Amino acid sequence: MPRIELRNISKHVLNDLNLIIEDKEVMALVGPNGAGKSTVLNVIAGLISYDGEVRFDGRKMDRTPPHRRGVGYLFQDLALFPHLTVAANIAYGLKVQGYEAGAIATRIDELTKALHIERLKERYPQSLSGGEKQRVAIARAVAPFQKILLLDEPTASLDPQTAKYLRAELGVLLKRLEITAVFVIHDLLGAEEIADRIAIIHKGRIEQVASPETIFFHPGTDVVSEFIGRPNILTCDQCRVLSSGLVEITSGDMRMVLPYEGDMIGKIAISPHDIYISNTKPPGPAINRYQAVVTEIVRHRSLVRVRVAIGKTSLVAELAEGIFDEMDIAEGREIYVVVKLRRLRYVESM
Amino acid sequence: MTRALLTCAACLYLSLYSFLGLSFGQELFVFAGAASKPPTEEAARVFEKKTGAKVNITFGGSGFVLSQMTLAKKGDIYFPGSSDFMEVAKRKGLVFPESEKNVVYLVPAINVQKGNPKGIKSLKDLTRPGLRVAIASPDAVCVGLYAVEIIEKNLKPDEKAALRKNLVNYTESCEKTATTISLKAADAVIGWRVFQYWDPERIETVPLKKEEIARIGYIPIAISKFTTNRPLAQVFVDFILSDEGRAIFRKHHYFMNPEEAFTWIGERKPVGGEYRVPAEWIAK
Amino acid sequence: MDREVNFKRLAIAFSICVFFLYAGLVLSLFHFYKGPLFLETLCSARTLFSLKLSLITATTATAVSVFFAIPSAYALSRYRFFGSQVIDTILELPMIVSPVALGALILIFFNTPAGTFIQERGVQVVFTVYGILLAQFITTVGIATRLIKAAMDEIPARYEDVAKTLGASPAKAFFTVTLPLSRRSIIASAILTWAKALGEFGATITVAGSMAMKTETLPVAIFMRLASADIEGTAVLVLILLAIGLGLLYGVRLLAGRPSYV
Repeated sequence: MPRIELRNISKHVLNDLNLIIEDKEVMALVGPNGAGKSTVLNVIAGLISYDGEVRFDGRKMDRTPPHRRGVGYLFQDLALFPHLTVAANIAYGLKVQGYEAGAIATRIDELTKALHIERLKERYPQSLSGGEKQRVAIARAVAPFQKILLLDEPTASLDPQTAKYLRAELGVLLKRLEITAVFVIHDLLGAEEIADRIAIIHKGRIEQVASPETIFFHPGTDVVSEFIGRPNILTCDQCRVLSSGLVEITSGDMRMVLPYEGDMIGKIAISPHDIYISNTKPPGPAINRYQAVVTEIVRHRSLVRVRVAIGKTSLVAELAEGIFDEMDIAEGREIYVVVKLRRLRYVESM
Repeated sequence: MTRALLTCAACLYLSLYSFLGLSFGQELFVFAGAASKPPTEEAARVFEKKTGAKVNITFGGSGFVLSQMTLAKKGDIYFPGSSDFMEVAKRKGLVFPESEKNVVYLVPAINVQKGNPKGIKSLKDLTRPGLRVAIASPDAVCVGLYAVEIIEKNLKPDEKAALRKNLVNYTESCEKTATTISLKAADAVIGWRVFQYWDPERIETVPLKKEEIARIGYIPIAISKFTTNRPLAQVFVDFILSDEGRAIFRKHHYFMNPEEAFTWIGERKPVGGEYRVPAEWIAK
Repeated sequence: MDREVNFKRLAIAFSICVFFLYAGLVLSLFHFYKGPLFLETLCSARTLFSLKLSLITATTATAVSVFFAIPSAYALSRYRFFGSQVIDTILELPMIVSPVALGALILIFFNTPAGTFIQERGVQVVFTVYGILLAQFITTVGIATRLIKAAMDEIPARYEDVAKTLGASPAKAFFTVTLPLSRRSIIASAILTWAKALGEFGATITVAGSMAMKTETLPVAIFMRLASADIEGTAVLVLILLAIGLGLLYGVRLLAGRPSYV
């Protein structure tokens, strides 16, 4: 269950990259396409040559070939062996490393039960659904008692519902097996669900490594800020529980009702997408609805960022160019603002 | 199968050719055994200059080109490497028997690598154990037939067995028999005396004893029954037999008449004729 | 829809044309066919020997070719090493150089000091069965490697990466993943190689000679018949080679037919 250290790694787009993943930690590697995420995984696994040092628990691994590093890898395309059954796929690592038949059978039972795929044991990968394949791939990767697991976009090809369930199960499994895991994911929200820490990587450099909360409320660099979507950060002056699951907070001149299980909120981050503006009074109840003044309009590619002032509080809303152009909005005008939060995402508690 | 296809392609080619030939002037098609390639080519060139008619020659094993001529149903002249295949051609009614003429005479001999590294001096030496000897295939090549006759007539049964043990190959053509020595694939072959002149740097002829030679061969020429221009074909035959034509062959070290051959051997010998190879030589 | 059907018909028409081309050639054999001669030739000791020799040498040469081809193909498919492009191109040598030229090359080699040494101290190759095996091997190993390389190129290298991260050494990964996945293609390549070896003529006759009951394979026997102006005999032997060769090829197809892996 080692601690992974990457020192001065240079390869392809990576340029003198340094990263430390603590023992038994689950770290998410997030960044745009071409940032070098998959390269980092390949370096840890030893599947490509690189300059620099990789250490597991302080031991240099640079001369060790991939099949001796004990690093499991869940590739984005899964690559389940088509010529083997599900059971044989899962057993592959154990068989190849010389485990006894009995031990192998036990391990297969244990993992298939944990991932709810017992009834699939004798099937072939071609006949499985996307989610089922994913589970088999996970079972196969962790079966040979690997101490480290790398995952490349493990839920990218699944529908949001299945992805959510799988992420939860994965989180539980990783903790139970005490595995140090690094997974690449482009969806920040998904990352936050199971990661202990998030590493933001951009153009081959690590911009920031921190807990999800820290990243959101204290973005280290402009790049990180841009990447997390420049959320609006509001400090809660007061906090009142309305009923179970509902909280009312006061921030500056705004009063908001939020879905939240706890009772003490320090700050919240609202994505500009969740702020809606309109010329006319929007229908529905007046909850989380405000009157504001447009202070700034900025066009950025095909999006328009509108800064509005609700009393002393300033918020940024982001909408598509087409939708904005249909409305008649100019700086200095008065408009309606509605904050729609289907789910509260980022909260810094007291 | 490959050869069958090649023959068909050859037929197509030839028919195309002859069609064109009719519009471009006179042409002759000659099917010749490879044994006399150099002089035949030279003679053809001289003939072309003299008469303006084009001579197309197909060279190959005597039996092979006979097959080609038969299947193509084309050809004016058949000029095999020795008499045996002419007998086959006559038997099959493929040539005009009355047009047959003898052109040159061939004497069988032992051919060895230049410098005679194995010190072969006689037929009996070929029975020496460990020697690698080759002859032409008796059922496909004339000189092979002659070799078998020589072996049968001159060696005692145990010597014959010893020589047969040394046989490494039955070659498929006259030329192959000669190149077997050139490429050092065998220590000795029983071929024609002229082989030495085909590749003087690599082949040496060891004469057989005069009593060992059973017969001398000759290279015959005849007009094919498929000819479309018998007069011109006759002109060609006449040319080959003329002094000018014969001089070309003499230049390539062939014997122009039986007397020259007898002088070289030291004895008179039957000329040509047929020899039936004992069954044990040819697996059927 | 109409265009789709027409295109399909056109494509099928082309394949039928090719069939008739070959079928036509085979049928023309019967122009020289003589029933009793067929049986007589087929059962003769000489023909049976040629048949046996052809089948045994073709199978052996194929086995050796495939044995060499599989690791070579793997190296060329997976690894970029110094000279791999040159090697890949030189595999086409037997196809460019005619079989007789190839045979001549082999004979010329055995004329060199190295070749002479091998024949004197080691084993006689020229005019022996070993010559047949060598000729067939050299003519087929290039194409066998090419075919198997194409088969392996189809298997994503990803599978081997997965196997490695699961603890399999590169050799283990090859045997437990790459080889089983390319099995069907390798068998197909072996079948093609066998067919080529069976029909090999030019290099065989040049190196191994044409001695009946010793080194006369069936294709060589066919040539020898033609060289003795025995056209009926030629037709019979061609028919025998066709029947046995195609029959065996078809039989193996039926046996090896199994669902492929996607």
